[in-house]
Amino acid sequence: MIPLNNNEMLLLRGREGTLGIVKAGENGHFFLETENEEILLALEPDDLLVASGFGTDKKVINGLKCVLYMIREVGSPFIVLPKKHPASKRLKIVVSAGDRTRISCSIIPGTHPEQDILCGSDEFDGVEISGVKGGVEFKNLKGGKLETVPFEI
Amino acid sequence: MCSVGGEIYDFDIKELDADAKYYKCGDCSNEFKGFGTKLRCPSCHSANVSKCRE
Repeated sequence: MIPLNNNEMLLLRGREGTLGIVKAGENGHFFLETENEEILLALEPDDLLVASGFGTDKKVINGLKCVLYMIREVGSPFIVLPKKHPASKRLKIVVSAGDRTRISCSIIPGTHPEQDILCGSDEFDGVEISGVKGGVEFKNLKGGKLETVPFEI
Repeated sequence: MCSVGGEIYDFDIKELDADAKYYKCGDCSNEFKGFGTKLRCPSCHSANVSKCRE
């Protein structure tokens, strides 16, 4: 288990991609806004928000932190686009929320067939990330470098 | 659970939509659709909520 508290972001740095992971936190309420309705997603504090970025440079890491910060700290809702919306191909960072996330390289970013799958670079294909009390657990992790950084802007 | 995109978010909502249920707040009567644990009313933040329909 990798320890992670609410003031930290866990980075998994790879050769081609980077994952940013934070706890869902005490508030735990997130809004999903579709064309027709609003869905309230209520998570446990130890669940996770996982952001996947295609790149490894500082811009990507700052982007991961900003996206997660917007969601968890600012309370920015998830705006759900219709399938095949032209914006899908513009996405540079994608986010998963829940108790478990599986990384797959075989799906198109932003068009995920299953709810707990998050697209990522090849090197993270098959990795499972679970939120556990006080930290994060990984399965099938074969590469990449883990680093904990402050979750502040 | 759900996967979405960056500055503009995008994900397949079908499974989540099937799991989400309608709730009614016992304090302010607000109805909302929700999913997960420890749901609170998004209007008055009361925890006094219960399922009202599928």
